[in-house]
Amino acid sequence: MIPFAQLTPPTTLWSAPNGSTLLWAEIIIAFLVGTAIVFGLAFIPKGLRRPIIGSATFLGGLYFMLHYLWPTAQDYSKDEIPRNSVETVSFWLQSSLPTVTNFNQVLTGLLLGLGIASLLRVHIGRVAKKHKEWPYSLTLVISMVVMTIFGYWDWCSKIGPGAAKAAAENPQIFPNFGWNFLFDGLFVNLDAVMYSMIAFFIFSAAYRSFRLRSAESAILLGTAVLVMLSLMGSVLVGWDRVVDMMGGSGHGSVATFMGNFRLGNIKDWVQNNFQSPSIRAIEFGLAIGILAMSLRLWLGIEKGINS
Amino acid sequence: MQYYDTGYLQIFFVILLMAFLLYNINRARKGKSLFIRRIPGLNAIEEAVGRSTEMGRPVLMVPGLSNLGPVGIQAVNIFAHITRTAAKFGTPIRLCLADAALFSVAQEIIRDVYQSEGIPDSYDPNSVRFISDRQFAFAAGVVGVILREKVAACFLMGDWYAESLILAESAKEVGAIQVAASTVTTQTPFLIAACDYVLIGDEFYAASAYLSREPVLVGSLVGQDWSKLLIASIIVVLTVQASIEKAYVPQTYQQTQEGEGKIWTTKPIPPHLKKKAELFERRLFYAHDPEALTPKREKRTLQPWEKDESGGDQ
Amino acid sequence: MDEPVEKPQLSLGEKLQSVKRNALYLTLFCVVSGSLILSHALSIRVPTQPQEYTKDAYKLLRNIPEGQTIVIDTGTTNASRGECGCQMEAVLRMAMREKVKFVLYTWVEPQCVEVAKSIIANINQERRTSNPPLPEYKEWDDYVILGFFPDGPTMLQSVASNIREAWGTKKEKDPTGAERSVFESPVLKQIKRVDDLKAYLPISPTNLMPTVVARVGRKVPVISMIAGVMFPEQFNYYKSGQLKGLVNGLVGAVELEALMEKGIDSAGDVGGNAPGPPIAAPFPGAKNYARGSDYYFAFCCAITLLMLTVIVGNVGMMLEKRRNR
Repeated sequence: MIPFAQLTPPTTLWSAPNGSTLLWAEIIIAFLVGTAIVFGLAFIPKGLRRPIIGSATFLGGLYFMLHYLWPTAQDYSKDEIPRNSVETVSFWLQSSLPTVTNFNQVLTGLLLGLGIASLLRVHIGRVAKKHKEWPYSLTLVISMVVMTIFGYWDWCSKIGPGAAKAAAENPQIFPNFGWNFLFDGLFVNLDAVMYSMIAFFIFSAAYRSFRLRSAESAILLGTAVLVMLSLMGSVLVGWDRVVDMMGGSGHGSVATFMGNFRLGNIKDWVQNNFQSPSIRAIEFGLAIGILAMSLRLWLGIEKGINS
Repeated sequence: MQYYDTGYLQIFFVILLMAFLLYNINRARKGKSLFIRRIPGLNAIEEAVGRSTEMGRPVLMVPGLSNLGPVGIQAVNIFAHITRTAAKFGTPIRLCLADAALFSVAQEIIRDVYQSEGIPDSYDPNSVRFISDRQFAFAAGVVGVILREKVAACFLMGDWYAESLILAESAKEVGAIQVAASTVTTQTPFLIAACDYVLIGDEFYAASAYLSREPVLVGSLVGQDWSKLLIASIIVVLTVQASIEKAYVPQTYQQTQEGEGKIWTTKPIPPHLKKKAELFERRLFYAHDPEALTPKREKRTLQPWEKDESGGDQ
Repeated sequence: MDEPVEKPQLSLGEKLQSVKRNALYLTLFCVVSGSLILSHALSIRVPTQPQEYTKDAYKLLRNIPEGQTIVIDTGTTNASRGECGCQMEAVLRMAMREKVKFVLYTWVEPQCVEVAKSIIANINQERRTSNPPLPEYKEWDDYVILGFFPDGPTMLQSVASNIREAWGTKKEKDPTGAERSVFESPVLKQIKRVDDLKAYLPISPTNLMPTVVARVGRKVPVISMIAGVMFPEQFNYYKSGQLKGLVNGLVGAVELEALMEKGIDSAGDVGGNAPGPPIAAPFPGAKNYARGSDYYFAFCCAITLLMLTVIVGNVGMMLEKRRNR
């Protein structure tokens, strides 16, 4: 008998009411246990570290594997009683998912703090030691601090407690202006500039590398030219008109044969018979590669190149 | 809904692929010698690092926008190998990352490399940098590193999107030798146009096995090849079967969802040549569980805190 | 004193193969800027032939009943406004004209929501100043913005499992200024399960779609709107039926605008006059040709220039080969 079956009617681990003593108790216990684990790990003998980390990884991955492998209860609704033990486990898994999702989101957000700490350490260090490129580092640190200040100031003025009323009576022009100038004016447009540079780089890369050095490159170039021509609506329409004129009107054999040379049909033929199968094949390989790598990581048998 | 939509076949298929991987890992561990073909891009690593050493310029490694997952870990594994080669020659490295979690893992791995080489003092903590998690801020930062430090070798391996060409062209401008690999298929052509060596598709995943010849990794690679062979065989067999079935086998029944709970039912119809959805291979991969879509269950009273905050009914 | 070394004269072939990078960039800049200005000034409309995948997307979107809800999963930043921005404009225009409600969120970058808000504001402005004036689309009554989710794949899995729990903590201000759960708004009030949504539209230059299709693709029709570079990969998903429609970059946005102008008649032809109700009606008399069509001429000029440049390089190579024989 699966232990979880005894939890019906389900007041599970995930359904403690907001603001209740039970939820607070669960949070405090989880916090204390988590802190104990973090500090305790430092005192664990070296020989036990790998098995503990491997077990934690396995349990974490097992949760998502169960989501995939375990039959999902159809039309799950939390006011229903599961019909059997299989559904009980499925109910438990589905009711836990929003909480786990929230954990992931908080964790992802917190990890950013690690990155910010690294950035500040590197660049403040460069400024302090007057490294040869310290002005760039100073610019980065100042930009980060200024953006953070204006971002929070503007957010507080719009969304913080009492903000709507305060904004109506006394609109905070300076933080709003600062935020708009820095984000909408500078950051967003600099983002667009970087993306636009790709057009120039494609141009120079194509000029430099697309040369008819061999039969394969000739086929590649010819196909590329045809596909590029098909992207231009005027060329597509014009080419098809010329082909239709050559083939004549009606549905005779000549017209049908000439229809194969319409630019849209050529492009579709290349797409359906060459491009798609090739990409499918590469994608199969990549997907199996990801499966293999994930399996090794999950089971803890991944060997780094240096192990 | 996975069993409802695809039956048990999809689950069985994935478990079979996993079994191939585990079986071949076991085979390799028992000492069986397994063959891997030559991958030119990986043979160029030593050449690239050697060139950097001669020119006295650093080696740059970038895992793209990879986060802490299979792609990111694989990229960092390859970079660990490159770092080991660079550490032996005393060549400085630069590892630029766009994910904070991967950054912390990469720092530890690179530090371990220097320690295992017996030169922990040579490790520069500033050589592993978190640039930004925003795509183009990251690209701008790495381009700055490339142009200011005039890197001599550039390894671009991981999840690459639009920023791939920006980095590749910038590295070309400073004359760096480049080895690239992208798990996003559509970026591969850009990398081929701009880089000297490119690993296409799952050659990226083969890299760790190729470089280390570690039995687990080589066995896993052979398992992947078995899986690909299985998929190819299924495609060929089902293509032939579907072609014959479509031309010669009439359809004599119809499946519909009817009644309470919308259970799939079968009823006879006049024979006709099969449509695409009626072919065996379609039904094989789009099987319908006869289990009801909306089964009847007993209801219970929701506790006050369990009620939907929106006030709507479930 | 050393005599100055004369630089060897380059042959024509060598010159054609070694055009300076700066000259190439300047040419591209002038051609694209000039064509963009011309296109806007002279309202140049380049004809287009909508592809099957775009027509399928249009058919699905055009036939969503009034009052139903769709999801727009945006990854469009200011950087990709040339492609995905034009697609989003077209989709939002269609949704607003059909009185279809939408939910908007992102798991790519927080900036994406701000970009979407400015597009909505522009279209509302257009509706206000049209003749006759049309009602604005209001947040809460007609659309909700759920904001940024840091961990999209897990959130989508949660949505597929139980949409009300996945988004249950999200709140928005109603017309009175009170913060309430988004499921109390008219947009999501009738949504009990993810199947109740009529379409899911990932509009992004990044590869959102495989994650979306794996998690919700079997329950909701997914139409992927992507940058042109992602098209070859996503076309396979359309061919296998996992995507119900596909809009390919700027070209796709232009095709959507053309379909909004001409519609698809009962025989399946664009702008045809076959008898019977059309498969997907146009929006006659409304502003259909917008930013996509404005940018298309510049796009065509850029592609032409690219091909000419490649030809110049190859001509140079051939001249050089002939000279060296």
